[in-house]
Amino acid sequence: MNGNVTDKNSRRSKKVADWILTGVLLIGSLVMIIPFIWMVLTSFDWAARLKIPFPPRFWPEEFSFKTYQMAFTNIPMLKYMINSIIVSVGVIVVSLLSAVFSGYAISKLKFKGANIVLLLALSTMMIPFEMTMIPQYLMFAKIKLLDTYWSFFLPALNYAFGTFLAKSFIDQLPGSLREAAIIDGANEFTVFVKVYLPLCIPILATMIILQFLAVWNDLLWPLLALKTPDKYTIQLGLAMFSYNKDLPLPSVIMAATTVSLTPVIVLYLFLQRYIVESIALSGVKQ
Amino acid sequence: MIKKFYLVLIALIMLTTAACSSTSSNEEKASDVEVVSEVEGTVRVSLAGWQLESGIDPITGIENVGLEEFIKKEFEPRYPNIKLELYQVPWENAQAKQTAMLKSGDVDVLYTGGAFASQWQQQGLLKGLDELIANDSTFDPSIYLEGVWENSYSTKSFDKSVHFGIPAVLGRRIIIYDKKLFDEWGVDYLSENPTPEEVLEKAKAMTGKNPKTGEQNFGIWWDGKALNASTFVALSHAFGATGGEGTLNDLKNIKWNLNSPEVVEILEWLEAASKYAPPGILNTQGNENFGLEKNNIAIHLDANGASTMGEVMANGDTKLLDRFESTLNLGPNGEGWVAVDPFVMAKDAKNVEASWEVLKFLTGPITQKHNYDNFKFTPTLADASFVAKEDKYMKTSMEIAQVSKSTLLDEANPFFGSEIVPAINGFISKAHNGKAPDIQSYLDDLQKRAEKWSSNQ
Repeated sequence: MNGNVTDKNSRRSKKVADWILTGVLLIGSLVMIIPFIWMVLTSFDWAARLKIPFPPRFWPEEFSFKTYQMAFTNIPMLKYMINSIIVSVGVIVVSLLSAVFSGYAISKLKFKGANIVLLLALSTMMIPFEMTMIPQYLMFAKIKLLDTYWSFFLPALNYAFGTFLAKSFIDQLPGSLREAAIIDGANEFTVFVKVYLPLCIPILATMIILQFLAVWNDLLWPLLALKTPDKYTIQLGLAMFSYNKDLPLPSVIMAATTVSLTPVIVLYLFLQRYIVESIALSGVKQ
Repeated sequence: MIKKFYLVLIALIMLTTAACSSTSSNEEKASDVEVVSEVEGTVRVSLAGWQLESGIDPITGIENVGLEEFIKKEFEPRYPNIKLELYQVPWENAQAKQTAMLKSGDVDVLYTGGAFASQWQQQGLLKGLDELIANDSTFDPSIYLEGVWENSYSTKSFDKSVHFGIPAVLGRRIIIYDKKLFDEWGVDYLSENPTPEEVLEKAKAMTGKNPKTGEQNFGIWWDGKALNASTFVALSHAFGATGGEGTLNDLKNIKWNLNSPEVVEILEWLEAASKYAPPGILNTQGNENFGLEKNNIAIHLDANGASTMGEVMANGDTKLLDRFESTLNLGPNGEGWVAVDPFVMAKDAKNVEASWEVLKFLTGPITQKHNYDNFKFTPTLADASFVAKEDKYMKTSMEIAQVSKSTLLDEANPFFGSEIVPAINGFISKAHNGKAPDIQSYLDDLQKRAEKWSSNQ
């Protein structure tokens, strides 16, 4: 009898805890999503094109697609998005290759000073970009690669966080796989490409998302490195809307931002399964 | 998964197709113009904020012509041997980008903010234009507003000995008031050159429930966190507060006077006025309806009239124009803060002769008319006959520019930008929240900081 009551109480406590958890998560989700919804709704508010109303309103006062029309006619939004895709893809390819190669080497080849290499790579993350951007700018100016996409691809060779992620992930994979492949006559490159790389897909997906978000949202380096408008990325395009510094054009910027977010959302939808997998796998012990 | 892949592929193809298709009307016939100069060369021009593509005017919603199309039509026939390379720079971080371009020798001519230009001149990154001006009989400085040409730190060095910039666009900061609200409250309209006392008195009279509509009205609005503290500068003219004695080319020897009775009067005025302003002033908000039908603010300091003109131009309805009247600024002759954005030339410009031709063209009447017609930029010309008759706000702002002079309280002054502006904005914030500090001690502290700063120069 007592046992039944305890079970009942425990079930009720669990139910209450679930409700509380659901409530907290719901509030958290709302806090996260409301600014996004507000952005989308404001993007249709032609009346808010010159100033954000105060206090802010949710529903457009003058519903219109003109803000979108303006976003697409005043600057070549689509061209900038294509440019951003080119830059993002290039950076992702270079940085991921660099990260998995170095991560594999540090994790499985056990060469002398591997940890020092990793520490050195990680230490570059401690220096804020603002400190290095001018020397980097001058360096690229010197080698005449400014205003080219190489100024994005080459710095991507040093993707220290990716190296760290890849190394941590590959650490979880059994070393016996390598040994078995080598016994079967495979060389190191074949072992890496045929055995370990396919297993690294979840962590690669995570890195793709992280790098894509970083490159897609970057304004500072594109602002410095690019000067021909035909090569501008989407973030530069968005910044261009305040072409008259007294006119911030909030609803037009919201419209352009909404459009610019589409590729990020699409990519995330594609890769979210792998990201969850990589997190789950990272927690599994050999 | 394959379905998703095809979906994205189709989307990408659509994006590419759309991106490659041209919507501009570049094939429009060039205007019938004569060659002005046979000078040859390539000139690299960096433009902070200008719109290159043809598009839609944000204020009126009417289609406008971007710079690229304008250059094709008006510049190329006049200067057939000069090739222009246009670099569009967003206002956000324009200073960082343009400084990098100047330092690496990547640019010849720049359009920029006045304060940025002033700093570059101090750093020796810009070319003095006096020799070019003196040797060019076709260039006439008298076409520009005298007050701007002679007095602005955005075009002349601190000691006024070097002319480094040609004024291209004026900032518009005028007083606009709502005649409808004045009528409803039974208050006399503002005079043409109102004093701070008059503005304060009338703002006080019109704050509260509107006797006719019952709506909440506010007597006044100004930007409580303006980066150049423009209202403070206008008040300094009105109360005769110079901020100190000395010149910006000798920062060490400036004799600061920031805790003078005149500056105390300014802060007393700001404290009083903050009671009649909507809460949004602390965040550059609360005035989004000013100039429009639903307005609830009686007097707007440092306004530009863009909303009203936008409605007038978009709908052709001039009722709002009659309702919202402009006056000169608060100074004794109507002086106020006048922002000037100039064109400047890099010290290391590759082809000075061609750059000078470009600089003249981009600051000249043809370009200024284009910028006014398409983007409502305020001209810097003494005779801007192309300004529409009904555009009274623009005319008032040009009248203010004609009489205004730079003082030590100018954004070109590094101490003003870094210390005085935050102090004034901080005071407004505290006053608006009913927690204004003791003014004299507040200014005594600012004075001490100023003296210490000067001694460290």
